[in-house]
Amino acid sequence: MSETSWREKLADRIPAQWRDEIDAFENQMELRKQRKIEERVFAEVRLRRGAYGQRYDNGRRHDGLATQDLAFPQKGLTKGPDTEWDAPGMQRIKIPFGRMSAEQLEAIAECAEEYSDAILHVTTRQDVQLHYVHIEDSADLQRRLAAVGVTTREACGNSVRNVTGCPLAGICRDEAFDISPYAKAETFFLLGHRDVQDFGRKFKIAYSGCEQYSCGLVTIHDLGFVARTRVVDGREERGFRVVVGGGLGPVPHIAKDLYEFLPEAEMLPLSQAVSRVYARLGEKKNRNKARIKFLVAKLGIDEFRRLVEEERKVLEADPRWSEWLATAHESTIEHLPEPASDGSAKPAPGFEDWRRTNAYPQRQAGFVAVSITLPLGDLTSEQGRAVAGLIRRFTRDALRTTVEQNLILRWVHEQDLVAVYNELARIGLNIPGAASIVDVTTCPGTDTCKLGVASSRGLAAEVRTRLYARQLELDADLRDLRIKISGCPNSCGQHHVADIGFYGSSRNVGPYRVPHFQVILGGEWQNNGGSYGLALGAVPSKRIPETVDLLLKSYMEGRTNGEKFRDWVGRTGKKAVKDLLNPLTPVPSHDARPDFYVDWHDVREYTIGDIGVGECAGEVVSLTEFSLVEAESLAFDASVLLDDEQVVHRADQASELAFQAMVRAAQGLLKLEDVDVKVDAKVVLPLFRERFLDNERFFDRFVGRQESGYLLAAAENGTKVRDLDEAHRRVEEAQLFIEACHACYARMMESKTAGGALGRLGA
Amino acid sequence: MGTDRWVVKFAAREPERFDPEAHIPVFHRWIQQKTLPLVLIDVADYAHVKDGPGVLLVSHEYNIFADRFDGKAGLTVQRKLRGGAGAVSLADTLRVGLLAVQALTAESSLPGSRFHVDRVEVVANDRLRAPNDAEGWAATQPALQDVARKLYDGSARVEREATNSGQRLTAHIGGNVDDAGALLKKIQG
Repeated sequence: MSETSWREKLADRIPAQWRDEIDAFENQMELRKQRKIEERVFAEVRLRRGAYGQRYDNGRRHDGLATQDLAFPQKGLTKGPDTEWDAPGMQRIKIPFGRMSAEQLEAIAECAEEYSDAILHVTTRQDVQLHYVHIEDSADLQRRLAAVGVTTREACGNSVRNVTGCPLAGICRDEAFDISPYAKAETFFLLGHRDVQDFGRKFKIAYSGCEQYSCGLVTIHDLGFVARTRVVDGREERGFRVVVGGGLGPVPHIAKDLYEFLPEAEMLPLSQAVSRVYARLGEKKNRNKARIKFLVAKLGIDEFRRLVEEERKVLEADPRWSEWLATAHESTIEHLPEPASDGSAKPAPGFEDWRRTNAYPQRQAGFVAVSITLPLGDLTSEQGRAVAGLIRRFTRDALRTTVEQNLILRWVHEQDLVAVYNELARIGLNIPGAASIVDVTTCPGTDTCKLGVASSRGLAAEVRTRLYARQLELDADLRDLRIKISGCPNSCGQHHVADIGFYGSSRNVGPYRVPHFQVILGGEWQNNGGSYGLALGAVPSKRIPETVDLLLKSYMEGRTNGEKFRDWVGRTGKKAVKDLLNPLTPVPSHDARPDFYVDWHDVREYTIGDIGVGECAGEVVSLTEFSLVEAESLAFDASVLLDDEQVVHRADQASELAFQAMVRAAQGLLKLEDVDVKVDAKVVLPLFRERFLDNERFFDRFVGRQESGYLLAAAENGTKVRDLDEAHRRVEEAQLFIEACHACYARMMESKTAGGALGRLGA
Repeated sequence: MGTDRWVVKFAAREPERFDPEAHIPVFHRWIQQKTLPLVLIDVADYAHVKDGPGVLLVSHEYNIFADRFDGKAGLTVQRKLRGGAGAVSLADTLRVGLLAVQALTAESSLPGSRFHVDRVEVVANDRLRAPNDAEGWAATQPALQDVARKLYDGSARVEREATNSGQRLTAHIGGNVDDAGALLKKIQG
């Protein structure tokens, strides 16, 4: 063979700038191998190329019996602090507003096959991720994608992440107009732009064509655009409602309105101005306070708007602001394909059920969009190639990924629907129930994410399997509900905006750890993610399927005529719902039910540390845990106060109660030090600072000082809040602080146990 | 210059009894006991994907799948290591595969995990150095024949499989030996 490298073979097919960037990245890899680039710097370089760390990338793994060193060959060579060079990593691939051509899908499938494990994983940000990739394969992988117009640039890191957008854009029956060209213009205007290179944290942008549905989820984004039109002097003008400062993460914020109507021509300069304000004034040192939502909350939306407008005035005019507008209003009608089949095919079994849930009649008569349900967001390379074949055969339009981890094939002639279904059945992708209760969303959790606390994918697979088995008997009102699961509080599974959400946590029971999930109810998926749910308390992971069943049954029995699930939760009240779940919270003893101490789809004794599980440390454990349970109870009471949104003064009460919960938890941890003091912030805080913060024993290596900051800020600034939103956040923060206390307690107990074992061995 | 990226697949003898998910505890135990001479890392469960990777044992050097790729039950071994292009890396891939076949055969909890070794699917997992065309076949065939002769002596066979464009160059090697231990001796010796 004459070709020696992808670099040479594809040189002419990659845009010059992209080619140079990938070449530079490859050079930087070489320099890092020679230790000529500092590892922290290389880590950010790598992340901005979308090459992310995975679980066990510190070279250690608990195998169920002991922590083993993973003997990677290039020991000591790292690609970031604590990240071994040879550890397999994740490659994130940006899919702007989820749009992929057949050629692009094929290229990703080929890369998955050759560099990964033949699985394409669609994420809740419409990206595609490949797992178990060696960093030295990443440059060629990126070249092969760049050759078909796909970039991984700024897919991770402190940069503008993938711009998401409604996958029905252009065919939607409810949209004001097609947001696709706008999202595309935004993507490529900001990609690598000099004004977005100095952020303290990541920055997420979303586009929605309508207000009422959830396809765009703009309110959970740093910057969001909702399509709107208005008539001026008899002419229709396009523009956007613009929101800023939303975001999930451990403490979610609903985005605030920046403009009710921003003319379309102002979209890019406005984005640039917002970026500059964020880069200049956003937090840089404390990454846990660095998202733009904290800046907006700190300044207030009016002051933030004033700063953006000042910035806008001094921007140097850029021809790229308007170049794209010339084609933004073009219709795709003229590109319609002819039917590919004569419509006489006999459907494979299950067609009618599938059509009911997975076929969306487009606003263009005679056409349907087809949802391709992906279990846990996964498809194989072979399925990817087959779907690319469907794109080519049945539609000249591109595919879209969705935030619910599915694919949407658009512009399918109704006449071809059976043929498309039969082809999907052939490759095992004719799964009904898209965007319904059986279509459970989940982040990777402990499967591959190093932040994962519990197995979100294992749980999702279990819940999904059980619901599928009975989906035909499910009431129509249940089918529309959403279940979303995250492996940790960081919300990658978007659990806050689900009807029923879960996030992973752990609890100590005697000397053991038990995987749990916090139950989140009351979130709103519609209205672009209109409101966030609150935690009701943790349930053992193995009882979550029962929890789902119980919630659904109770709703069906207790709802009034036509009452939605969210409204039923609100009317019933968190306390009553929690009482309902209480029987599911006890953990049986290890001897009686050892399966409770093993996570879903795993066989190892559950642990999130690499130290191992040893003997019980004695009564001190129960005293501390007693305090933590009390703290949880207080935090829950605070959340109950927020049920009655009409009583504004309850916001302050809830905030105060949330603070007391944190103080109670801190006091509980002090008991581990044999310090038993009354629950008084003035007494507890100095001791807590001295014993746990100054020596950094409290800090988790990933989240650092974030949770302790909630306690200190509340102590310093007082518990008076401006509104219910802020009170809502205080309660979330208290919950997170208590989770952190649980984690700190577990780490300390494991250290004590390990120390004890070593001591005995030494004796 | 040949490829160093190979995938080999051993077909299950009783596909109807083959259960990828049953491999989860076994693969975890292999990690604990360092059953294979590899840097074993983790187990990934893809059983929810139809005709896919099944259950994956991840190592630094290889991915080992108890799989149903293309709807066919079997054990697939994907080489990730670099270097030793051509027959050397193919032989190494087959060696690891045969070790895994032997180890699974010894697992009493997996009666359905017995595999044919007299006919092995070989995929050149490298569209650059082994494209699925006549030129790629010409570049790949010598390594396949070399390794097939080493394993199966005079009964060695090498057949190219006709695959669609987009799919990787695929062949089968085989011969009159259906015993993993016997083949291992030849390839290690």
